[in-house]
Amino acid sequence: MKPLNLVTLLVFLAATAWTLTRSETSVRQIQKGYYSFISPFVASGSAMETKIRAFDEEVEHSETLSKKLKIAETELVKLSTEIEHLKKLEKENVQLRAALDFKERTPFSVKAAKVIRRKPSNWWETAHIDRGSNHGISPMLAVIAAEGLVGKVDRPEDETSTVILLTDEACQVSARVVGTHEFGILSGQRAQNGDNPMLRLRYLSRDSNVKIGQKVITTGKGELFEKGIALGTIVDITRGALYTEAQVKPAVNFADLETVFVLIK
Amino acid sequence: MYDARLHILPLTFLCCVVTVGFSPMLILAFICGFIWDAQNTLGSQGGDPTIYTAPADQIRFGYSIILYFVMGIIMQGFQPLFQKGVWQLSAIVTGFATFFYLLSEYLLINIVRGEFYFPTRVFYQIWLSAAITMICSPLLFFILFKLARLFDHTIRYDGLKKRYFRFQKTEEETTA
Repeated sequence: MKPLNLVTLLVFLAATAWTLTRSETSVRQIQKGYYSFISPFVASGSAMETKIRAFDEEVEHSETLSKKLKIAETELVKLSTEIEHLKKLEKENVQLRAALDFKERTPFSVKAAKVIRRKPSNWWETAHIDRGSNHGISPMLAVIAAEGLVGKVDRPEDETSTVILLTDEACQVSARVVGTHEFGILSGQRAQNGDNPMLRLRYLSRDSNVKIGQKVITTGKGELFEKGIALGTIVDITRGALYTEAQVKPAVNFADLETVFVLIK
Repeated sequence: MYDARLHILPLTFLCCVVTVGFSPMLILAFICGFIWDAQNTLGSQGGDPTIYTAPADQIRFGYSIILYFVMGIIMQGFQPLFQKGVWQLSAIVTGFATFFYLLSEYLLINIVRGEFYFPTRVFYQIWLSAAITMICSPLLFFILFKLARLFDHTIRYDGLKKRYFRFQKTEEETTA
């Protein structure tokens, strides 16, 4: 081996060993530097993607659009009525809470964000949103959509953030089956990255009385997610020797994720 | 299509390493692996450990450097043929190297997190991604040759070599 190659190999091995022994804090620092460098490129790429999408939408058949518009108008009237009704209920709820002297829930505000990039890697279910630490986003905050839980913030940059989706194996949520006292841990599954990903609800009691079609919501335990956020619906149940496990269809359509909301504590 | 995609960074790396020596290959492997991990590494689970008793483990930051190094070694093994002008074989090896890279990455996840799980769709995803990457490699080689010519860099591909020798021969003939 040539001396130059040998020296380079030694330097390479030392640099690799240095990289492999970085702590999580230093990895985060490295990632922060990397993302602040590439964020202008990501933003321009996302703008281009948005333009292409907009063009694609314009090409859509006008008849389909007018049909959709009619449906939307009907829905709007329906929703306005519902909102009015909900406002009344909210008022009533506040009055009742005051009367019963209940402690108020931890106040949080919601920050709307747009999904600018979906699944940049092979095996990790992540998305990038256009809100970052400059907008008050911090790690571990829950990200929701109108239908339910989307995931949690993994890494906020200045202007953007990486969200680890509920469909990822590493995103675990303490969950409860509605109508029962069954608690479990819900997470994504490995290699379930198609159009219909299924979630896995583990550690339900062996003799649990959960049934197909029951809804699953967050418990509020574990310091990560607020209580009562919709997670999905049970579609299959497997009873094991120690625990019962259920397959859950997510409440959120992850294939069509555009606008999300970050719950800021 | 089973979530298959073109892997631009591995493709660029694989096409570049076959045109350079061992030392530049090591440097490229380090840079590409580092960038890949900086882009994709996820943080820890977080939350109350009494509730989340079995968090999913993550692969260590920097593992991609090793995978890129192995891919680089595979590509460099075919460098003598590439230098003789058999670039087609290098293009095919690009696909195999990508396949190896994705497979290793997936197997690593299985090892780290336990519960070996290898559904058919993962196999399709891997080989389709490798095939897409392989199909695109001639384009990358073409760009590399154009760039080499532009910056007067010798890849030592016979096509360029011949022209160089032809030029030398003409010069010798003129002198004689």
